[in-house]
Amino acid sequence: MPELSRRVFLSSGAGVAAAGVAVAAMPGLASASAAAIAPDAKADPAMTIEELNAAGPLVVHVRDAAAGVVSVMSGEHEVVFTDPQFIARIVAAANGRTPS
Amino acid sequence: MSSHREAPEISKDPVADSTDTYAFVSPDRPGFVTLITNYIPLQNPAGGPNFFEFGDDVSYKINVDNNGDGLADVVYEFRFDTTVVNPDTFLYNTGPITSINDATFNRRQRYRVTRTDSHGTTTLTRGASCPPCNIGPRSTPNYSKLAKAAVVQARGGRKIFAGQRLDGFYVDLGSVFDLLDLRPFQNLHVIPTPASDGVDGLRSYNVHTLALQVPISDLTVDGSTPSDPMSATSVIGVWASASRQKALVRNADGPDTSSGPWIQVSRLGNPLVNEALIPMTKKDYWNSVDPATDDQFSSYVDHPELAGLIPALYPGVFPNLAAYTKPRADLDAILLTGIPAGIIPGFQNYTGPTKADELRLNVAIPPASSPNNLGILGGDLAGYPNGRRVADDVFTIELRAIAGATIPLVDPTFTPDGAVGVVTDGVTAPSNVSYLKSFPYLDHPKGGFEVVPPS
Repeated sequence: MPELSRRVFLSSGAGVAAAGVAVAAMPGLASASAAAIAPDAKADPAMTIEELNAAGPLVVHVRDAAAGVVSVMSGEHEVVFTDPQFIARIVAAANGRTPS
Repeated sequence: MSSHREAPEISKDPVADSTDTYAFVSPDRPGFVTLITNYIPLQNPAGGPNFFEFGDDVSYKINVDNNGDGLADVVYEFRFDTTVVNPDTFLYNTGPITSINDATFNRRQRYRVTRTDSHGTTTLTRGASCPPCNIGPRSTPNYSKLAKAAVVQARGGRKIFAGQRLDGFYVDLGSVFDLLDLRPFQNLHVIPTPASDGVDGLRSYNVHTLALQVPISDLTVDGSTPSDPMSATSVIGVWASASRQKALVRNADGPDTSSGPWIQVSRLGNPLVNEALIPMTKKDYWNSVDPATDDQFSSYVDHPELAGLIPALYPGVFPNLAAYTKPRADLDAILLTGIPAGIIPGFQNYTGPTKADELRLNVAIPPASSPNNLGILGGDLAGYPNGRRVADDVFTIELRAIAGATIPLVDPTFTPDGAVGVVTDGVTAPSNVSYLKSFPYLDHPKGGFEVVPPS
């Protein structure tokens, strides 16, 4: 299994598209790797490049993929949400497949 | 011990490992309470070139519960920031450090302290300096001067200190961890050897101390300075905690990423509770929760494993303890609820029915003019378990309590075994450790140059 680093994850186009949706629902949360995700972020009118640049690093944690629950940590906060499709893309990436 | 390396996970994280917590009415300033908690256990003073320091990535807290619900009502938080003056040297100090702002003090820590209560958060100090570690006569030639300069004189007479100190706790670690051997009584142990004097296993080791001295009124539920020991408002519960952020990502090409909410990894109220009462598989969990949920651990207090081991390891010495099968209401009161009124004349430190491991201090009990290191067991109401002073012999107090000395307080039908009144590890203060007469009370740390490692 290839190593799935935060950088690899964030540069994964389809995964980032879902991440963008998640971040858009959480004001103030965004990734430091704005350059990597900018193309997809532009597709989301709720998120600007400036907003992405203003946020600190994000850590996304999927403790139980089958449950579909995603935890996103930023600064001193954590937001938990359910997104089975997002997790499916992450798992695909973790398994070395191109997320669909 | 008393909480040095007491749980499997925190023993691997000494920067966040609380070792002892103290709370007492200040003997030289009776209107002020001193709160102390120590971290980074068993520091060999010569442990350089990267000497000991607090964690910039740790949130250190001293918590005060003043309404008996096991939750913090007043929180003092310490956060640290480390800087290096000269990035091109490996040296901790580039010459003698003659002041805490000396340019030769190469790797230094500053900190801020905030106080949070129901009204919000205020900053007590920011940019305060820690003194250097005590290295030796060439590097830290006037250590007491450096340490004195590091005591922050905050508004309202409050005092704050953060830095290295001599560990004030004393116990014969080497014997008690060897199947609860007590050297003065080891001739009676199930594996006997000739009796001998105790050995202080912490002698000359340092710790890192967080200390506050604040008006009593900063801590009480109604903002008063109580004078009636029997009033519920006279009692506060104190514990320390340390937390790390939930996620850590190690970045090979830059600084690590710490992210997410703070997760408690260490906690300490009464000495020895997590260490000697909680089973190994629950110690890490115990460290992660608030005192408010301690009812889930009460069976380990009510039926302590040690109370069964002591008679087994010292055959025939503790027959009454061996025969006692009732839940230990005495330990439950001392450790989890406080001692109610009517048990000890003129005293109570009861905080209500919520079972919570807190160091309970009745602030209306004045400091003792002639302190007894055995605290309440020694007839001194100003000592442990009424709070804890730096010199209190908490190992002997708790050993005797678990061995049955305090059962008659709640069960007059019980007669303690004759050995209970004399049992000890044979280590006493001040013969084994020294203290200061004023804030921060714990003595200056031993220097790396002066300490000879034990043979």
